[in-house]
Amino acid sequence: MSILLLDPTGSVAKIRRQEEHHLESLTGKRVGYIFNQHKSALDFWQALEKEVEKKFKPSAAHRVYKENTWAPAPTADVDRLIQETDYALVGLGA
Amino acid sequence: MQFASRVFETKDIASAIEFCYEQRWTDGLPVVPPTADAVERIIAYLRRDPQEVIGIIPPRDGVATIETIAINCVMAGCKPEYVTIVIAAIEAMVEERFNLNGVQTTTHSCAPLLMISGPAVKSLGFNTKECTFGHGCRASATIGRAVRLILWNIGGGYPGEPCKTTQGHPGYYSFCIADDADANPWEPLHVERGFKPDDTAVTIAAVEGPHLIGSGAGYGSAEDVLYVLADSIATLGSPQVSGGDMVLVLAPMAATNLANAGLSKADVMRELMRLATRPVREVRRRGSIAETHPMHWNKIADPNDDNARVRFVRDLENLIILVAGGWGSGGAFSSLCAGWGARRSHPVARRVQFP
Repeated sequence: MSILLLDPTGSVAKIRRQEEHHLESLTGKRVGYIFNQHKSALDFWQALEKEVEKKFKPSAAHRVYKENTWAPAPTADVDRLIQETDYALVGLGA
Repeated sequence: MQFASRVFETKDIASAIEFCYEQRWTDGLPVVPPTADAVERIIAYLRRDPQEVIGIIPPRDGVATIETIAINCVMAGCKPEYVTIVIAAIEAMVEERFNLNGVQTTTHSCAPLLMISGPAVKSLGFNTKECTFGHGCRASATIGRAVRLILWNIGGGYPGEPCKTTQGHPGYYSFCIADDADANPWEPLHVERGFKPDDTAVTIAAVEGPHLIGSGAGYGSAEDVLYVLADSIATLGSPQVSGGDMVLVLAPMAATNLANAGLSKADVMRELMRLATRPVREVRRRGSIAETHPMHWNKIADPNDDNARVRFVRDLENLIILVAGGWGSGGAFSSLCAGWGARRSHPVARRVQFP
């Protein structure tokens, strides 16, 4: 007699995503930075931001530097960043 | 019963076990094949909608329903009545402050430790005595393993990719202990955390494997026992150099020694907070989180003062004390499970709902 097994993995939750907007260029646009402030990435992140400033000359910069490196950024902070920027760089060190 | 889960056919028990390996449905040990009959028995016991969602399990963002939880509980070897405990544990773990995504994927070696407290400790038969962290008890072993299988199968918590724990520990297979109400001279853990005495609650904390402490409570004074416990907390390799939570499992003999000296559990916590320190000149040698981080030790001690003391228990709420284990000999062996450090994950407690 055969044995019927049930799959223990279940389904994957669907995440609602907003429609993506294509930017022709990053130059002069409002940039957002979300950074986890991990010690291993502090120098890299500083250099990255300098490079972005130099190369794309953003009209504004909005930063969400997480106080808790290992937990998600507060949703309200991320929502505000999305509203106030044209593109965002998200970085973490570990 | 109609199931939402996919169904697969195998020819016999041996091939069913091998099929589970092929599908990567196991933690490395063989599993009980999750047959429809066995899953139905659990759902019938629970009397809940099989498609009720209990939570989303990262990093895969798998949906943990009553049905998928029941399937994993069958695979772990749980009796139907154990599943109520597993559900409460999952409810606790998906609370945001537990930071399950971080716990699952960190390079650190923390795993969710289930601490059961209340009448169900006895009625379900958890081991609170000898080898309390170890083998030999169905309730403790299978409930702990069911949680791991849920993190594995529904959460996709596979080592390497995406989970980066560098070492892991044996508690990644099963990590479940229980408060010994008979040996505990103080308030039970669940009452301390705001539940009623006749409730059963699961408290869950992301911690390292247990490190044994020979507290010497059978030979020494309470003062000496506290000194030894504090010394074991304040080690330079501990994540608690940047604060955060930890679990101290006191052997009944150690708890009795302290209680007989007139100390309440709160007194013990206060004393450990006072004593578990290291001087800046030593702590400085331990590379840690960024100096700008709010939990860096330089926020609580002057980094330029070699003799300033750095507390490893930042707040009383960072220390969970549970009483369990055998009576033993004079060593009164206890265990410390260091946490993940800083404020990376916070313990969460949930009341168990029985049908």
